[in-house]
Amino acid sequence: MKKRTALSFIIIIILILYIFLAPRTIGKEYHFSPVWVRDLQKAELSAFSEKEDYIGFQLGSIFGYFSLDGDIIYLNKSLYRTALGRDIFFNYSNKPQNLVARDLEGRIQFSIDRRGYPVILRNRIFVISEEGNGISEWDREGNMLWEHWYVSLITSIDVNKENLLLGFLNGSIELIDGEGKSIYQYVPEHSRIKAVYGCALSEDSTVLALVSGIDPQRLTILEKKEDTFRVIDSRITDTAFRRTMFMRFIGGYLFIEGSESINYLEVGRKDLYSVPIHGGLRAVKYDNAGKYYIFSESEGNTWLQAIESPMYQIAETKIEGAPVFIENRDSIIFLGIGYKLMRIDLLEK
Amino acid sequence: MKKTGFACLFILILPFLYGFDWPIEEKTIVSTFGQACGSQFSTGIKIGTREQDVKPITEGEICFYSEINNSPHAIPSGLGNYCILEHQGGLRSVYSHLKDGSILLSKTFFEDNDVIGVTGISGASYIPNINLTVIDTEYNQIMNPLLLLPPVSDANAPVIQAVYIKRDEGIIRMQEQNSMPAGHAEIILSVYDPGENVKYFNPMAPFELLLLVNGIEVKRLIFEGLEQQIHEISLINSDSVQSDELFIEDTMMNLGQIQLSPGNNRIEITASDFLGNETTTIITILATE
Repeated sequence: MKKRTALSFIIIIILILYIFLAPRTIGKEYHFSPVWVRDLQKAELSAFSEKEDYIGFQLGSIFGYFSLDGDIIYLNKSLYRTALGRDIFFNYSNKPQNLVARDLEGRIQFSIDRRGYPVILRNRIFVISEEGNGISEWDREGNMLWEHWYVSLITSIDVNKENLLLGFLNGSIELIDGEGKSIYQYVPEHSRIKAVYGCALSEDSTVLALVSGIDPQRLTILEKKEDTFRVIDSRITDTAFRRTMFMRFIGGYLFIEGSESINYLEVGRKDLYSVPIHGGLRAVKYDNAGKYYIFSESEGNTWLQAIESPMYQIAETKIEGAPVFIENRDSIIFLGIGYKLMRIDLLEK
Repeated sequence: MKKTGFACLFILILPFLYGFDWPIEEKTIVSTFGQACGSQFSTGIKIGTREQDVKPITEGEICFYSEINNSPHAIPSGLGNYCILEHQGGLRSVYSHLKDGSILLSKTFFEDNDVIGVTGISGASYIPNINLTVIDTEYNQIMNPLLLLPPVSDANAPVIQAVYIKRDEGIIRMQEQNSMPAGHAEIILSVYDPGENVKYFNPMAPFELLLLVNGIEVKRLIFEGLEQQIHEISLINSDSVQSDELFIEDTMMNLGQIQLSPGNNRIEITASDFLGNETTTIITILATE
């Protein structure tokens, strides 16, 4: 009896010590809060201001620009698709012959005399050829800086301020500098089917990553050491993408789309972590302050998850309707669903 | 050169090794391989004028697909909705402009008679058709799909509309008999293939062009394949000619430079389609000293 009492006493003491000596902070609690919703079918235009930061959007056949406060300054019907930059946009047909760049008030700035499909990435203008096997870069006066043609289709693309990384259907990647010079080419280890499904380029161009092949599908990470790139990580994934998938270096991590999950790793470390998501991944955004926003779509609804470094979920919400447009400015999130634009802020409870 | 020879041999025996068939029932070609596509050679043939099922040219496994409304990370291009099958022998076939939502993604391996999708107008297309491209991954070349597919009837020979001579002083349209100073000159040809069963005028490129000067072959262009040379694409077995060297406009081609020697110069140009229907134009230029 005495023994049992003593044992109970020891257990209680250990529990009390554990509670006081090993506490773990729960952290701040967050929630997503809608700030405004704009119905584009009833929208009225506001005046353009040089001081404002405007965000381009396309919802269905309508595109335009709005301010962080939801003032819509430009609305138009897209001919087929649009390429929207911070200060210019292209509205192009399904078979564009001549690409016209306009400012946010719709005034013509310059034109690109090329049949192809414009893409604005990191404020750089690229034109993808009609059959997907050529790419060119253009300046803001409509002059071609360089042009490359390939036998293989371009399947994935990532860009930083200086360089461009292309992934190809033939299973290779190519790193190209701002003058169009090929810096590095790589073909990953053998898979039964060769193709690149995603590629990513770090901000300083010292790390390249790609997901390639089927049977097996493989994640390969290369790091620049001295004058060339060397494989620092090569692992077989549990995915079997046969389409372009998402992978990007964001805020110190490499984010890689998984099967109903988003995976991430710190470059140089082997551990690959995973956050479960709801259905198909649509986008990952970063607020430049340690928080990541993951957008996914499931059964026609939008799921928004906020995760905080070191990667635990701090908020989640479900919004009715499939996401058509996703953007952010730091912790302010903009979503386009149907013909409605909305701003959602992440707030502390 | 040896590599190219092997590639040609490989291409010639491929139809016998694997049973290739047309991907759609309506075998109407509306654009040909190698014709001008913007600033580049077209990498495939466009087939069909109405909505219909698309089947693989031979059995194969889907190795890549892209749907414009359901691929948030896809790269824009004129291909629209497309899928790519990998076949035996290192061949891949690309089927583009498919109808929205029609790509059958529930399976990865397609037998000969399985339906991949439906012809559509997605991407750079105005009428329901598909653009079929065939890539030979072993030799890193794009092949003219007609080299693989069973032949279809075509009674219409290519049309040579006009022959021009380009010199420093300008471009002159040639008659049967002409006279000009001896020296270098560029031959420019206005030529198209009307094809068969095309309900509207859609000038396509011929399959082969031959230029003879005084009976000597000066240029032979065959639209049978494309290869990559660093960051450019050129016609296989055709002096590695590139699109911007050849095409002035969609149906205007620069066949390159010839030497007009003093006296009569007989210039013979033959344009052939894939089935061998051909048209020949002969002009004579009296070159003066």
